[in-house]
Amino acid sequence: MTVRAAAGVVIAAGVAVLSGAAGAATLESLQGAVIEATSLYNTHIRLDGREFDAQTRWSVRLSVAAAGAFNASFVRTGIYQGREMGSLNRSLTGTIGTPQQAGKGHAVWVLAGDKLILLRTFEAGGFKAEITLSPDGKSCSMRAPLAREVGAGNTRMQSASRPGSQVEVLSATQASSTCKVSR
Amino acid sequence: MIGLRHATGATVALAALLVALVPARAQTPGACFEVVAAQAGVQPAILIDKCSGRTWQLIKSRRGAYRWTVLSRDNGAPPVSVSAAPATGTSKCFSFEGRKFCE
Repeated sequence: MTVRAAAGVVIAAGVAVLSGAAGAATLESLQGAVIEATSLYNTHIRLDGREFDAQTRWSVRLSVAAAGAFNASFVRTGIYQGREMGSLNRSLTGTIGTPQQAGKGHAVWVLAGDKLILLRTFEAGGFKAEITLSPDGKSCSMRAPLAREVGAGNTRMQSASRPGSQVEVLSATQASSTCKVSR
Repeated sequence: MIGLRHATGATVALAALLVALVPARAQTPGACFEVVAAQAGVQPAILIDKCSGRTWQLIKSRRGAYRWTVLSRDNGAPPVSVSAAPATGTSKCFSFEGRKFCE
């Protein structure tokens, strides 16, 4: 074995040790998993110059293939006084760990320990969905707070209820969430 | 000789990394660093510093030396800074595409 090859083995072993030490989910353990999660928010929004108390439901279905390749579909639904007012659908394919354009913002999935995290940016403001996987990888929970962008004011994104309009989120509180893993 | 130098350098760098990371993880729950293992031929190892918000991928250079390089996008655009604050930590902020966000 050459010195270079030996160094490669040492590096590979080091990475394996570090990864194993975390007891973390890995791209390998996620292969074949389908994660479906939903989060419901109570919001106060400004749309077309008027303010409303409303709700938003955000859903994601993430399928993970080999080497972190994923296919994700998202649905964001605007709800006002118990009625669904409209929804936006988006699909993304990519690789976990690789940032990509998503609408007028960007998105990246990151594996960190036992969490699969989606970072998403909008016209202003962002969003972080933390999907925590159980040790056996068979169940999950999701925490998905909206995040204000420093120096950018209120979060702004495309309206799900009125196509072509921009909605300004004055406040948003996650009211409930669901998460499940299947294979 | 060059290969030997690079291999030695890589080994020293890894040793330094292990010294820096392993004891920290053993002593401090929720330590800063997470490593995502490589997928041979497809996905390099990824190192995430959840405390500072920096992310690297382990790249082998043409000369055979291994280096942690800043995570870059796959469309040829300049590298971006991606961070994911630990969910159970005290940080409520993350940086992405040069923008900073806080819960």
